[in-house]
Amino acid sequence: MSDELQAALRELPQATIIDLRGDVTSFADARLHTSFDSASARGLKYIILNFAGVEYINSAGIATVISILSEARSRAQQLLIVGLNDHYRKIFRMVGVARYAEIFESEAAALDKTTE
Amino acid sequence: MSNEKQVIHLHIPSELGYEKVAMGAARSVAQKMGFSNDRILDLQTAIAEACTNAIEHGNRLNAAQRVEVVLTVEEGALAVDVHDRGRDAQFAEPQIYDHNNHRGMGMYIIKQLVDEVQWSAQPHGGQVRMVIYLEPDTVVGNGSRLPEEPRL
Repeated sequence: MSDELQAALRELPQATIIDLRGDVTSFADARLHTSFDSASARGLKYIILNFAGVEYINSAGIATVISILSEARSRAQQLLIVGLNDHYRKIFRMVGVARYAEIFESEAAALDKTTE
Repeated sequence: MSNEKQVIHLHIPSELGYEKVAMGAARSVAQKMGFSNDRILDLQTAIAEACTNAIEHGNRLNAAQRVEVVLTVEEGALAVDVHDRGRDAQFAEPQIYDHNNHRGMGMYIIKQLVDEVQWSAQPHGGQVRMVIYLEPDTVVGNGSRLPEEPRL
């Protein structure tokens, strides 16, 4: 029943974008961590998590996102979040994700941040 | 919609992912009642959290046990009851600040998204009851919907 998460990396000069497609639930934990580790290994300051292809996120998935945010901080890297619909943007703010990562309306806006 | 209560019973397997069946059913019923899309998304997320909690922590992913979801169409409101067979129900005040404990985060999310929520331990397991109300301006005096509201 769960729509398995797919994660693809786009490597830009100033940031790595992780394009997510599928469900962000407990089943996505390993895929999210592996993708983050690959992106992080480039050593760039900014990693962008793109949720544009995600339709379903639950609290287990959010817990994984928070653990990745924490991991990024420990590596002096910054995670930026894009592609959330209005509903999940509200949920992310509700549970405090916005305190650890900036949430942008668009990929372009997030990329602007990486060139500041 | 008549004033008589309409009740829909679902029995989903204790396997993660089947909460989507309950989410889909809730969307259909809430749309028919005239809830806005924003409120339907809130309800779907709350039901998803309640069902995954029942599957994981209530029934402990035991495939032999089912989670029962009951949707009750009331006058100007939709009530959703989620029952599991767990014997160790714990209903502490939801906490969100331990991200290793996503169960607490799920309960917090439910509390924020629905108008009423109540957790209780029943003789045969845990239960959560959630209620959302139609916006006052979408309900006329006898509790039925205004004619311009969308219908399926």
